[in-house]
Amino acid sequence: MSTYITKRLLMIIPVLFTVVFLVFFMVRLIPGDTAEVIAGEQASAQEIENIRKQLKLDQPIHVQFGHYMSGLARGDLGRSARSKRPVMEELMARLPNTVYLMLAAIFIAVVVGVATGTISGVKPYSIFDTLSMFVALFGISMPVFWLGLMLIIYFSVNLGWLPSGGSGTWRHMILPAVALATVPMATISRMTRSSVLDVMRQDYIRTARAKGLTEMSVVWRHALKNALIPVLTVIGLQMGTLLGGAVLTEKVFSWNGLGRLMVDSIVARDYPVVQGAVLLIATSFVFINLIVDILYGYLDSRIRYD
Amino acid sequence: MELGGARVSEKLLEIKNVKTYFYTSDGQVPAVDGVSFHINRGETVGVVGESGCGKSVTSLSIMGLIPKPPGKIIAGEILFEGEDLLKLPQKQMRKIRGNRISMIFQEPMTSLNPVYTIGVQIAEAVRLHQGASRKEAMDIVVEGLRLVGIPSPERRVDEYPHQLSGGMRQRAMIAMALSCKPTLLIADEPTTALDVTIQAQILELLKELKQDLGMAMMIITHDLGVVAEVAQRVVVMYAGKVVEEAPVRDLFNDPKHPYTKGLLASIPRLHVKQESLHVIEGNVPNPTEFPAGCRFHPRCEFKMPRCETQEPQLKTIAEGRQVRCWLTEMDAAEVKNEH
Repeated sequence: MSTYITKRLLMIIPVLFTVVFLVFFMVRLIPGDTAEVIAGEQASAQEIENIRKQLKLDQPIHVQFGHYMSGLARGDLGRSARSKRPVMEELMARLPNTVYLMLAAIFIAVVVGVATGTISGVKPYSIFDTLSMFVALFGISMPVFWLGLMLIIYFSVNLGWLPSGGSGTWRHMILPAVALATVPMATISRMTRSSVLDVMRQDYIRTARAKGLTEMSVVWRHALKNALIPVLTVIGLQMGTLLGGAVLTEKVFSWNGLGRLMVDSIVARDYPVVQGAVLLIATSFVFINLIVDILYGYLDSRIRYD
Repeated sequence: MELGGARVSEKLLEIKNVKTYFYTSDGQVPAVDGVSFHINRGETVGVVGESGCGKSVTSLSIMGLIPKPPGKIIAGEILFEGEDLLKLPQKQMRKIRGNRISMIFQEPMTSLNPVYTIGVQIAEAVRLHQGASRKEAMDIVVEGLRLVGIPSPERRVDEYPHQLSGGMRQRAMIAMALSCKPTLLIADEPTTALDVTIQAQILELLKELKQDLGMAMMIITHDLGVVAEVAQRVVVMYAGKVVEEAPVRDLFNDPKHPYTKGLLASIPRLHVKQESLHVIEGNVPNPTEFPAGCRFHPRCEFKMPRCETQEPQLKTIAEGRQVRCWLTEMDAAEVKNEH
């Protein structure tokens, strides 16, 4: 097991290098001049030139990449072009907000998704099943920014129950968390349904019933533990998607997290912050996947890592 | 006559005219169509027939494990110790299932839950029906595994199904079924999925355990060799109906129904020179369109005109012998006339 984890950790290095490489060159493909954007519309040509020098943007791109990589090797993500503060500091200031939002969303998605999926899988083609799968299809198809706006119009503007944006209290969290949870909730629900449906047809379920167990124990103890193995994969992947989805959701709800920082930084051509944020999200994604893979072994003893 | 402390003549299970139908998109499937037979205390009854004749559905009907929908028991009574199982509420039925009536299945490879150790799975039934603590249950499980001949059971309880061979898994299934000392064990093709040598071991084990525990056994099989080995009485089923019932010796010495004769003739013999094996021509008919009259007539060597239109009844022809065939209902002269 420990050799497996070491191997997986070592494999993270080339993955992250590729991410850094791609992001570094991709952000520079965005049209627009960083120095101009940062200097502002009123700045003179000299001022712009000074900023360009200061940010080392006058050097050839491969030299810039070399600088960035050598900084990265020392754990230095560079400084924000806008605030001049270290990128790490900027990211860490926003990270907790994004993590809270993601955890709230994944919690809602897993609880509701697994529950509805299980009921649908145990009683397929029932009214509940038809209805929940219809809603799930709706949830998957809806773009998060549109859903976010609809939630704001209904719950904030019309009903006035919840704040339309900002962060700070748990009341601020509800709408963005629900918006963010919708797609993973729908995906988890559909996956759980098909997985439970498949497991309920297995011979060992008949054995469990033949023992005299209640239908509740048959489903809870014997079906779910088996059915949740493929669902776990989906949950892991969805958590990655959530980090990405958070970009739009945070923007819509003015949630002060990584996603909003990233969008604002892209607009401002603040390359170091964009690179840092993508790197942080990619790293989290890779680690979540590793944790999911390790969890398989605990759910199913047949899965061994040698 | 005494056997294992129980009177053989006392009926433990009596199935009366049970009809279990399935309602599918292809139409109504009368999988079990008016089946009646009984099992005495401590007795072993073999239920024989080809695949699709309704043997397994009969056993699942007894256990109350028919999936509804699409299945439904539309008529009949299943009396167990005088109580009609079909009238029992679910809660009462669960107390019988796995406790007083247990079942072992054909597929040891897939009948155990892959994510729990065999110890946990067997202990589940013990704790449920006997209210044993975790610790007590595990002791009973270890004892049970020892009883079914699993070596070093203290270690095996903590193993997962995939760590056991097919034969060992079936032994674990038997240990699970017997953990609450049932009065009736239903074994649905318990040896079909196993190697020949393991088959013999499992049958021997079942015989021994039955003797020791004094339970009755209903063994479902398509293998007459298995029946000859363990059963005292045999029920032959064809297309959802009982076609013959007889003590095992009588059935082998003097089969009455043409289907039973065909089955017996199909067994390969070592000391008889045979060019090719005897086969019963044709297949079991599709259950959505059973033929009119006797359901066996399209495959019958002794078919008469009447067989195509009129269905024969199950007639008692001697003590403990019943046959569903026009041949046995008519005397020789009548048969000659028919032809």
